[in-house]
Amino acid sequence: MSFDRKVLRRDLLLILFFLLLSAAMFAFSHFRQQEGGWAVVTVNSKEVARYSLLQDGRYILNNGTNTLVIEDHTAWMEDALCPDQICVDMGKIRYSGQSIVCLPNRVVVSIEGVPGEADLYIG
Amino acid sequence: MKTRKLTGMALSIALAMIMSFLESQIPSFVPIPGVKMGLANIVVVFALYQFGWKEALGISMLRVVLVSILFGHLASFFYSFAGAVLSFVGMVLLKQTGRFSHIAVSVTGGVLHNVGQIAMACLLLGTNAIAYYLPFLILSGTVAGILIGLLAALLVKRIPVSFQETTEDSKDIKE
Repeated sequence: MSFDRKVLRRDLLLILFFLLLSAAMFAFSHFRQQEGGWAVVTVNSKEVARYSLLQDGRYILNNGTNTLVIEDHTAWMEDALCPDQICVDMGKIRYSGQSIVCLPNRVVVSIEGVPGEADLYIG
Repeated sequence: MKTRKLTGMALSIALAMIMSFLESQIPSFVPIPGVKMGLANIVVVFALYQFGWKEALGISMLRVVLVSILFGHLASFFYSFAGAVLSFVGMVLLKQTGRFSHIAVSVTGGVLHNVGQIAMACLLLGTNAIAYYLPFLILSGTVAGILIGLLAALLVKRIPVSFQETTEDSKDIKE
């Protein structure tokens, strides 16, 4: 393949632009990250539950398709009834804005709020 | 010429479907939904250069519909559809400028495909929590796009048959 040099340079610039864009977004979410207070569970676009991250527990979601575990201020999907198991592999989340998505079961767990906030509600 | 074009398009759709099927058999190596190679885009980029944008659009849309019916479900159709449309618009616009090669076209397609999917997921799941994965998906779309673009450029060079009646796009193919 022989491309025009000018064309190749523009290609590289465009690729560089996308790489920088994603790097900037990574950096932005990294520096902004702070511990969250809630694990908010959304099933089929509806919020169905919010669990405090300060309280350890094992929760059955969406009539048993997914199992959410909260321990040590972190949340993760322990089990899922779907072929891809992507949400289980996603690992643990603890910072505001992070989320675990299970597309086949349409379950989303996202971290919101700040730690103290959850305390107020739990009492 | 007409029969030749028809056969070429039918072959392209079949190929794109095989690529999608092959890809669905590969287990995802990163635990992020939507990260994939986008093998079918090789065919779409190829068609964009060898057939023209209308034909490539037809191939891309038919592939999405047929693959969803055969191997997917309704939700997967919406994700692929949003990704395919956005990616196609971006690729055509970039190609029309005449200032970029197959690689940049394919990279734009890869990135926009992922952006489209995320937008659709936010819409369908009613939460913008998924936008958290956008930087991962822009990165993966770029890397996959480079690879797919190189493969498509190779194909365009090795199969230098133009299925177009006009030669207005032949200036893009550099020998």
